[in-house]
Amino acid sequence: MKIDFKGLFPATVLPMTEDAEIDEPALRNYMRHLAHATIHGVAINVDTGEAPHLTHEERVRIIEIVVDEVGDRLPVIAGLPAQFTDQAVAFGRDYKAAGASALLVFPISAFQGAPLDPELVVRYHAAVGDGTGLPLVLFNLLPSLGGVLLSSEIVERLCGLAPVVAIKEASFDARTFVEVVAAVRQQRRPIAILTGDDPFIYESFVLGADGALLGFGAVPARQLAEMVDLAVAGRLKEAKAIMDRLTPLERALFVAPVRDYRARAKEALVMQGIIPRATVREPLLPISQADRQAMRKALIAAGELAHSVAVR
Amino acid sequence: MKLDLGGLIPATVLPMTNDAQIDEPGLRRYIRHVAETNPKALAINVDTGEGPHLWPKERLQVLEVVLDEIGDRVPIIAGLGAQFTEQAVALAREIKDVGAAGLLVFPISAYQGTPLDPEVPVRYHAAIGDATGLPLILFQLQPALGGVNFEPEALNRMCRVAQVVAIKEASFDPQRFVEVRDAVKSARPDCVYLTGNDNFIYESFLLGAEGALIGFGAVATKQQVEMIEHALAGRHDQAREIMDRLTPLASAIFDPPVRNYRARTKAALVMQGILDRETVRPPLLPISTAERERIRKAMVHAGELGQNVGAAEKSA
Repeated sequence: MKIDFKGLFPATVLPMTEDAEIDEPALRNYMRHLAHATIHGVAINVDTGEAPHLTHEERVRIIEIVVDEVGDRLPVIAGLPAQFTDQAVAFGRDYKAAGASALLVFPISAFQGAPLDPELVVRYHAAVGDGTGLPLVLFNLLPSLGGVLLSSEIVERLCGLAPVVAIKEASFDARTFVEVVAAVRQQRRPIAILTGDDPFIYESFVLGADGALLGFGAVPARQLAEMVDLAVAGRLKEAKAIMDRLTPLERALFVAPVRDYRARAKEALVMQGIIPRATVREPLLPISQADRQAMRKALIAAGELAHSVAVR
Repeated sequence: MKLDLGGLIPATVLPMTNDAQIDEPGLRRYIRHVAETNPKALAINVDTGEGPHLWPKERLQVLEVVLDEIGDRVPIIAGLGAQFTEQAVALAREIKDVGAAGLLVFPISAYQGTPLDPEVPVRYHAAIGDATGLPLILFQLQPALGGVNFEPEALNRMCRVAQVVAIKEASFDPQRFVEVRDAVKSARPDCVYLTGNDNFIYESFLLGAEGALIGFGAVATKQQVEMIEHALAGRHDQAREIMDRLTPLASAIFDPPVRNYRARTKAALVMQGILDRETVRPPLLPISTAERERIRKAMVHAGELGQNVGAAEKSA
């Protein structure tokens, strides 16, 4: 399916059963719910969806379920977490067979440490692209979240690979964002810049983002998609008004420790009646009652939960 | 086999064929060579052995081959690299079935970001220990290498997990090394304190190390076994003399970019005729001629390579 990157791609959570297994009916229901928003696709099997805590077989199964449920309406971008080149190619092929429209290529541990020879990163992505034939979304991720910041030289060389169609920029740093935009815009062909910078989602569009691929999109998908659509259309004032309403919710979701944002997002969706329970898989732990109350308040402030529901 | 970890535990490399598959005859030959130096144990399937770049089945195969070759003489510690609790438990059970003597438990990505609720690493290690009963070695690894520096409370509680017998400390920071020693020893005096700091191996023993689990041990193993024996016996002049000889080699191998240390170590072993080739598995890349020449000089300085051998090989 042709992907129009000028919009929101929520990184989705994975509804689980009480014993932390995939809850297929709840996953289907949640996907149908998301499809009502003006999103341009979904990003599954990324950190928001607890992909690092799933087996490869489970990730394949999730792609199959999501493609079956909304694949006729929405592109499905699948996270590709691997550890070495051969493995990435093998996993990527399985994801393609399961119906993924594109791959979000996670940085691997071999990228860590400086200096990073661009050749290593380029060969890794080239192997995945050649081996799968799928469009690739690059991933510039903050080191404290387990990622690696790619130099402008590396970004330029990666953008020279034919399968690369977009980059998720999640440096959480405005200056780096601007440099990535400059490196990408040097290319002769259009490559989409997707913001993954939760601390400055709205501002990303002022800095040159084409779209957004965000874990925050897992909860207020409708409002956030509207915000992105307005920003893309240049209606910045209206976009900003929505973002201002959503920002306290964003802060409550991603407050330290950040690893709890998956449990918090699920708690929010439970309060909204969209998923049946907030179970996360170990090593992740449930959140506290105080955390839950903070989420409830933030949801109400964002217009995502009625007072009467909250009181009940 | 009773685990005595008080000495050198080399983390070994994995010899590979030209197409970056496991070279079983090469592995057997190399492991026999390392075992002859009388290390306390071997650590396999860790970063030095390209553990993260192997399929789970390959890691089990490496373990089987190593156990078959020297398992009757040297305890084998297997690296446990996983991503979530259930997976770690499943992998650990398989490793136990094959016959490892203990596990080096790698940090997982869920530890990243602060604050870290101690409950997260404690439950993770307890689940592995409960499921296998195998002795566990904790692993504190500096964030730049993909690890996490634990707070004292987390260390204290992790040390109290029943199956924990030792900790590998690899913060690469001497001050932290001392602080962690105090946290560990106050929680569990019998928890063996292992240095993983390739940048201050000898000095670690002045700071309270009781053993070393290090990638540098993959090469010049005999000299390091001796160095650590001297250091533990308080013969510091002799220990330092050996370490001074070895330090240029350690620097040549672990200089940035650190990820190249596996290919560099293999290059050193090829120069000694212990390995057939330097091949590492992608995404790792081969090293440059300049890197190789620096290693050759450091090997000669370390007394690990005759000048003639170096020259002869060069002209060959």
